[in-house]
Amino acid sequence: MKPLRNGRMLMIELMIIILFFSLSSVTVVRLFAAASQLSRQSTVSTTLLQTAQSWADLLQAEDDFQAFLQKNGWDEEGDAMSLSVDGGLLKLTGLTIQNGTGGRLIACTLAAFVDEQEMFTLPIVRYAPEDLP
Amino acid sequence: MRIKQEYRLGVGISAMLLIFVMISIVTLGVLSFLSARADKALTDKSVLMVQAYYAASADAQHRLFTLDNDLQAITSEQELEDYAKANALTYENNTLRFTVDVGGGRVLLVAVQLDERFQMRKISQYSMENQTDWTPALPEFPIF
Repeated sequence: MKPLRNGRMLMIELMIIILFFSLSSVTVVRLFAAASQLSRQSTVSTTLLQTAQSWADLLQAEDDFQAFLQKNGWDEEGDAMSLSVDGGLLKLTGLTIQNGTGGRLIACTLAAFVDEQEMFTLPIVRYAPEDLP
Repeated sequence: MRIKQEYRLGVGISAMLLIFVMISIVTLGVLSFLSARADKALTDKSVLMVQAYYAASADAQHRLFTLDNDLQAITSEQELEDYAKANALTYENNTLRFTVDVGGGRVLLVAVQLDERFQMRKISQYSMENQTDWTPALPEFPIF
């Protein structure tokens, strides 16, 4: 009966180790997956932010937003315009032009999307006086 | 003499090695997760700061639009001073100034130079400044 008892103990020991390993593996895999997803999100977010800022600054020096964006490779989608950036999409919407006595106020919103989910929006407004340099 | 063999529940060297490896991997995973979370928090903060700047800039552009329209109706310095007082502007040396709060202790300073007919000549300042100086919390006995 002794070898059988020893065999059982070995089996229990092995089972405890396998259980410990499987639990640890699940934890580790989940941790790495979460870390990877967070890292990817922040990378894409940073890239989109820098690109959006760059376009926003360029637009603030332009009088005709639509013509400028069309010339620089943006796609027209109805009232909106969009540009694919690494891992995301920039969308320019709500372009309005308000005429005043001294100039024009051009306003729009630049939004950044990742997997159809909105990450952030930047309001872009430019006042273009008629007689100012 | 017969030696009595007794089996004890214990861990072998290979199991101990594997446990050590697993603990190391878990530690690495936790550290990489914490690092990624800190990066994400920093990115989110950066996004908020940039958004706050563009919101303030949009507000400033709206105010410039309104200001330029309103200045068309102003014909005397007294009218201009009254207008400035009523609209939280400062008028000094033929220049109208206003600030827009950007958040995080920052303000957007805008100055508009006027001509002799009290109309907008040029935007002489459009810059962001800190309202408060940053002073690091130094230890009691500075080491540098």
